Amino acid sequence: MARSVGSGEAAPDHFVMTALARAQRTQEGSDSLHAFLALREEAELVGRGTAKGDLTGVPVAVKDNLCTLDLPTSCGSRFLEGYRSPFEATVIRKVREAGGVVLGKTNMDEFAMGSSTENSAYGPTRNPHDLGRVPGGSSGGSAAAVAAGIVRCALGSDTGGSVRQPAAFCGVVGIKPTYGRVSRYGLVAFASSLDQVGTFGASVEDAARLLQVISGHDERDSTSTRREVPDFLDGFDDGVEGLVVGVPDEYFTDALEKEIRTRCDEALERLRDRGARIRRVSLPHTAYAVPTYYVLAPAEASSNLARFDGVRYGVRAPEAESVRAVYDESRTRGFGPEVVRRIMLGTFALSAGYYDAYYGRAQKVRSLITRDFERTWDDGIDVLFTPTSPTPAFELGARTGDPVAMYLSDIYTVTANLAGIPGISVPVGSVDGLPIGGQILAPRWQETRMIRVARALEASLAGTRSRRDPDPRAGGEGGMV
Amino acid sequence: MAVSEEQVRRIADLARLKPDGAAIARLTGELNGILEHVRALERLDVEGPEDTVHGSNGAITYRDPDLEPDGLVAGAPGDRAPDWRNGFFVVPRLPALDGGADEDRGAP
Amino acid sequence: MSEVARTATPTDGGGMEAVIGLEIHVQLRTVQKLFCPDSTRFGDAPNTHVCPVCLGLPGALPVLNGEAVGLALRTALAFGCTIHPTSIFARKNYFYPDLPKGYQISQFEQPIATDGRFAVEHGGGVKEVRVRRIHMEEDAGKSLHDRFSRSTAVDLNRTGTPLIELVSEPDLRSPSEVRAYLQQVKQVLEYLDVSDCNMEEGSLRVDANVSIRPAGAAGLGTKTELKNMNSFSGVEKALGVEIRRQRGIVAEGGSVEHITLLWDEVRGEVRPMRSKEESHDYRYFPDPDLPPLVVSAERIEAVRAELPEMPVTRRERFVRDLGLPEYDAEVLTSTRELADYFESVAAAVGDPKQASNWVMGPVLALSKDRGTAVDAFPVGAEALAGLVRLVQEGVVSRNVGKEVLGKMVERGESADAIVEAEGLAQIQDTSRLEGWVDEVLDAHPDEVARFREGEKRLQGYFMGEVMKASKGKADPAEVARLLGRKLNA
Ligand SMILES: [Mg+2]
Ligand SMILES: [Zn+2]
Repeated sequence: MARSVGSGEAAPDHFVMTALARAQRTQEGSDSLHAFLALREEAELVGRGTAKGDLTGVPVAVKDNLCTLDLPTSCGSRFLEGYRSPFEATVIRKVREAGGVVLGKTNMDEFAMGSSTENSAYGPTRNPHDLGRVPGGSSGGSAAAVAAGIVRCALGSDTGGSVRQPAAFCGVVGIKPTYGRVSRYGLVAFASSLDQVGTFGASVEDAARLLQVISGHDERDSTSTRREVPDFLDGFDDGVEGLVVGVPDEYFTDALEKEIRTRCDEALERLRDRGARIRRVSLPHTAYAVPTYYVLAPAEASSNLARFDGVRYGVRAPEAESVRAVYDESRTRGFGPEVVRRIMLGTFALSAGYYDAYYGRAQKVRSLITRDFERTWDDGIDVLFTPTSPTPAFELGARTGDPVAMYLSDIYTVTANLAGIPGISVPVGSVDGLPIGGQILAPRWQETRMIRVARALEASLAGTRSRRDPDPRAGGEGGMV
Repeated sequence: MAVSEEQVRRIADLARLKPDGAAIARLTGELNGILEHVRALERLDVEGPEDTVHGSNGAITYRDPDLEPDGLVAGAPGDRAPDWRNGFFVVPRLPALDGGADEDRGAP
Repeated sequence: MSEVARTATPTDGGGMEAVIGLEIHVQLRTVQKLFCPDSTRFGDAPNTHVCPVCLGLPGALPVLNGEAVGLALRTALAFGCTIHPTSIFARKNYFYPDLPKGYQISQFEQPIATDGRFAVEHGGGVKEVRVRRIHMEEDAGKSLHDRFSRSTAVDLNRTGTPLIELVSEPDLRSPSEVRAYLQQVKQVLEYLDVSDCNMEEGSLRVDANVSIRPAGAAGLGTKTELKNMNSFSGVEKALGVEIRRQRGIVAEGGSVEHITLLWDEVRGEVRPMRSKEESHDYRYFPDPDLPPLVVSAERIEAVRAELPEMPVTRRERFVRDLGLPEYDAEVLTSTRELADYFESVAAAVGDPKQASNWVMGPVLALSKDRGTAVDAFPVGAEALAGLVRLVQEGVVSRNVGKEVLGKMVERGESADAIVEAEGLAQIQDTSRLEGWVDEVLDAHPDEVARFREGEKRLQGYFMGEVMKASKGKADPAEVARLLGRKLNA
């Protein structure tokens, strides 16, 4: 984004202030989006964002599970209401050092557990394209903030699709990088072996540039890679000539809504027109991904959330007269129903007598899922193309009573987390006015290739979309505000 | 192998959660619904594959000895604690192991 | 209680023998904690060595301390273990206020080392105890119950201190054997310089599991677990009490229950832990925040190459190569510092037995008076060697030498300086010595006559008189030579 920064007419904080004003407007009233859980005060933002870097003066919305010094970090949970982290996430430091300005903290499913942002203890976020529908989740607030044109880019986290699925539902771009590409230090853990910080953008370029800023090794995260970070925009506009795009049969089943399949077919047609070779492939263990995920993620979560005990921070039941009561009451009161459900599920999957049948077995199936992908790359497939979600954004409340139905929203996205590979969701059109996302998956560490294909798809659709504002500090398409 | 309400109660106990009777009944139904779905995994032959327990394949790396503890920028470690007195985190009295004053249990 | 412990031998009490295994937690003496850079220093104000990682704050992540891995490897090699090229950190999940994350990072299914052995000397024999495993883990904080009237205070300074847990097979058969094992394990850990091994400060902690069975039987009885023992003698006493308790149950036809017992040092009893505390299901699983710990063959060999000489080997060498008596060698190798000190003195004076006499005698006596270990003894090996040389050369007598050593300790001066300043050197000048000898012989003509008639024991009398005349400064060896010459002339 640096290339267009410094054109000079407006003071750096003009754009930040404009974004803030837009954000504030969308927080109130009957048509409010409720994308943010906390926003910076105008006075605090004066003179911010002057550090010279790739994000100078760019306002960034940040998911509320990333630790920030200036704003609370609640993770959408009652347990952490008003919690102020005494340290900041590595990705936040990198954004700041690149000149970016954290505008506010965005709404999310509690502890990132959900696919609709309805599991926030602070009320749901609404989809800017249809206020009666969910923005997806769990990073729904960040997706909505970008879709509403408040900011051009935002941070989220993706454990099973929590960046890509809301990006698809909100008609923006969402990237989940390779596991280990971005530091998790300061990301409040949900499922540590699956969590990655991801980025949203109004365009592929916006999302990729933010990813460039936050990538790289961090001494405070043992799982972050020491590999050199490539230039994600290398060959950005070189197109897909000669690339082999695999289309996995298992992602185009009856679960997929017909109209979405049509949008995907059209997208593939456009890639073919631009010189890509399209090949049908099979990833035979795909059907096992959701069950595997719903053993492993809750198992890890049950342990990651044990630190929320009411001793060092968080809520404590005031009348608790024993340590046991402190734990029981604080946790029972502090956690919402989905979090309780997953802690229960995960505790069960790890408990004596059940470990082998659940957690142990799921680990092995995870290997099978990973092998499916490896075989595909070995067969000469450069990237895979799939739908991001089997349905467009659903109506608020439509799935809250049925956990399994909600979990199946992640059917096309959890595989990338299980295999540790990068994925991106990019708009491929709409159905009845609702945006549809296509997903591109690539081998580990091949974000650059993945971004190039996403860019080609984006460009192929450009004729049907409004041009974006050329100044990256300004909001996105601005259509909704 | 469906889970019973009794098992759900035991799991809640392990997880330090205290759902009331109605919640136990609801959770039992929900967990059984989810486990029914998870049961698909039983159909697979998992004799061959290794375990995947980490997000990537690398080996552990050691901390740079010069790395400093990340500062607690604002004030004391107990600033966020519900009960913090004289430099201690404070909880309701635990049953001491030896009936005496200080219990220095250490890690098991 | 201690009577019971002392008399508990392997097969008394109806032919039942005790079967005992130990779990020893050893704090490694690293500068920083295992997974965060906080200090491991003991005894500071509460919650002053804490950071987001060891406080278990949301978003914090562990990063491994390589120094701790080195110390664990050193220990594993010294105990003859197989080092595993890949080991896995796992989470042991349980709730406790001094366990901030709600889990302890430990090693479970794949520890860093297994299958070691340790030779224990006890009762004149040597017994091999198998070491099942050594694994790495982090320590918990402290819960203090006497700071507030109805509350427990939690101090997290110790949270995250590196530990190794050394688990033996149930190869021990009596409380006194256990004590010998513990003392010798501690000695080795001290030689390895991996831990302070300070039981009062909790840097060494021992849990035992114990069962009884008919002597010589192959199977194992139901075991109980014993905790909360704060000294080696406490371990010995507690085991004596528990073995007697189990024998009592069996003698009455009952059966031992698998429970955890706490040792009450004051009352000399074991008490069952609350049953609630026991219903643990730790739900171990690999910690996804920490990739596998991979140790290369080169690393293992490098650690092996730097292993210090172990106490038994050193003791044997002292006997074989330095010609020391067994007893001297055992005392001198009791700690690595003492053995190092002795070896330096011996090398400098060129006479190991002389060096041993000095170190085992006056040096240890003075250290004991001062209540310090030999590494805090203010007279260095070189300085002591200087003194020993003065005695060897006859400049001062051994007795005067001991006095000089006392002054060296007080003043920090060299032996030469003190002997010089105080005029303590023995008189060896023949003409002066002859003067005293002649004086004495002239004054005692009767005794001289009796001597010459065969009453040879009077030599000692003349000697004493000469020393008296010289005010103790005459070199006794030279006086004896002169007396012999003149009396036998
Ligand atoms: Mg242990
Ligand atoms: Zn720390």
